Amino acid sequence: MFVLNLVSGSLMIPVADIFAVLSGHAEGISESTVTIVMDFRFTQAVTAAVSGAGLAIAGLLMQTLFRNPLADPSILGISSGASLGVAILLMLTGSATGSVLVLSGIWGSLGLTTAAFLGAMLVLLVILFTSHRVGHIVSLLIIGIMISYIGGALVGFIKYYSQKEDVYAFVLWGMGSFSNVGKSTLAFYSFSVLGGIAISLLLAKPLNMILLGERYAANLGLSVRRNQWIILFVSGYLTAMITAFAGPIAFIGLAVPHIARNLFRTSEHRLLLPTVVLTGAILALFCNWVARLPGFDGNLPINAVTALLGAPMVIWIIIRRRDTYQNDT
Amino acid sequence: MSYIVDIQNLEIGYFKSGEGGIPLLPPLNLSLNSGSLVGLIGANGSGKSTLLRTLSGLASPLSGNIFIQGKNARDLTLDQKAKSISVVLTDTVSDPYLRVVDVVSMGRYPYTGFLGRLSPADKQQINMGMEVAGVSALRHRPITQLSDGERQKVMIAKAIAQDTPIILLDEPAAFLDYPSKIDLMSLLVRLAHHEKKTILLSSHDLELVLKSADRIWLLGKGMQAVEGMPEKLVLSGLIGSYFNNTQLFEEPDDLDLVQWNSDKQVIFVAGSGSRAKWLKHALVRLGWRLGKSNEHAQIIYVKEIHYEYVKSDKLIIQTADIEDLLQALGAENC
Repeated sequence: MFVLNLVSGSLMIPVADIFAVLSGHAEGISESTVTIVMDFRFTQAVTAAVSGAGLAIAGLLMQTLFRNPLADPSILGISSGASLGVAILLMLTGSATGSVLVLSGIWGSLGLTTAAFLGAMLVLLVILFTSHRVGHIVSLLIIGIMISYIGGALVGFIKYYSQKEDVYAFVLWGMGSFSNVGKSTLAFYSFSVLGGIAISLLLAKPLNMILLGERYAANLGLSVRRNQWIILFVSGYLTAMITAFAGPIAFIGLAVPHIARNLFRTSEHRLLLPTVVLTGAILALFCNWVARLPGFDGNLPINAVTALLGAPMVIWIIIRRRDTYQNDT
Repeated sequence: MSYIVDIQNLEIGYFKSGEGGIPLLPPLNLSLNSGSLVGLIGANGSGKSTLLRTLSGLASPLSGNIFIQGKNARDLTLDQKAKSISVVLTDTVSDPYLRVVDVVSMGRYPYTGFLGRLSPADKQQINMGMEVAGVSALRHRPITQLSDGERQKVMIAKAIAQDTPIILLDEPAAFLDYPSKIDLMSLLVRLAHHEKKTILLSSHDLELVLKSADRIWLLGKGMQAVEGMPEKLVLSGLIGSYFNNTQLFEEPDDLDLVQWNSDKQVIFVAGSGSRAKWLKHALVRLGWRLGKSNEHAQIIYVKEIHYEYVKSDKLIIQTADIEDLLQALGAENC
């Protein structure tokens, strides 16, 4: 899937050339080809893989934490926090300068990322703070959904008072894209997300215990509150990071854990976590490849692809699961 | 005599913001003997679940102390608690991909390392837990597909795998049909008497608890807790007063007595009336088989106010106290 992403694009480049560029033997290959392969396709493929894996992990953590198969990274309002950050930035710069400078140049994209990250982290902090005050984890879920609504409503207000061009820029960001990460930020982005994924891989045991419910987990010696907090933090951090750079990408976080569970018929997180990382990366690469298929010219929003693929997948799994389980008895 | 669980001046209840702790009961002073099955009974809202939660460390006591194997529960780490007390709760496990073996395996988590890898010894304990609880055949079935009775047995298998000397169960027999109830209780009796587990279970099925428990803890809203032998509590009329209903249960018939184990000899009870019926109840519960005539070597005569225990035509004890009687009987036949 990774190779497929490198090979396909609006410009045909021979496979041999691509491998030559990647392995550092770029003699005799035009400079523009090298640039396309290294700066665009390779960067984008890595971004897609890393983001997909991170979102899928965040989704798995949320589903286990809330013991709710419909939870996903956006459920706590972290993505809508990011949206709000972006909307505020667009409105401020738009009305201050009277022009659409936001998406132009490196400062524009850096500003966008920073705004999204700040918005997402702000919501995450609110959630982490409230998590100590609510009695039950389900209350937190409801608070998260409410924060989403508040964020959405504020974005609506801002849109209403914004210029048409700014709204367009916002909509564009909201569609999600794996091409926002540049060559210079790729290493930073990858390490930040992979770090979060690495931590989550160490959480298999507490995650398994939480499947039994909070009280059984506590009786098995788990410090429930502390582990819930850690899980919340890791998934929130992953969502914030990825949404800031790639926009709010839907359905990967929701669908991938279901696919992984169904693949091995298990809820054992020692198996589930690595499977989710791989499946998430593959699905994101696939969606990215579809979005850049000839004819779409790379303009197809990634969110349209993830939703169109992810939603039917979840439906199919749910229906199939019911059948097989009934046959078991 | 040292108790495996010793409760001293324990106040249980809940915390209300602004008002502090609201106690449900007067301070409790109760204790558990190792290898005994104790039934916790009382009307709804009398604090049974709160007491179980407090003992297992899932809720904080308002005041007082709990000593577990001689150590104050406050000084135990989460890990130490997990290795001393296991619980079977009313909470349902709802993940459709969790199989029976997965759930039972989690009982070993207090013993495993950071990643939860199971050693061969852990696996042996897991298999043993499923074997004893009688759920080995279900090992690969998803937990969500089991009947209520099977599910309770799986959670008990988990508790056995957890290898704790103490098992606390909150309403394990609720929602079960009668055969499943008997099945469950005989498993618990076996665990207590043969595996030497100390078992405390709450239930509002009075009859079932009276038939199986070695001791009863009786709770009533705002009332002093009472502890004692089942039949003695019945005959003293205490149980009726704690349930605000004296006609709550009928006197046992010889036919509906359940023989949990019959490792003892035959004994004949001569006499009739309520005291004779409850004496038979106690004898069957303790593993005696009831004789049909006074030709047996061991006879208990139920007189106006006292009991006479005769063995091979020799009077062993004459007492008005059923507990003293059964103690003498046990001492004579051990």
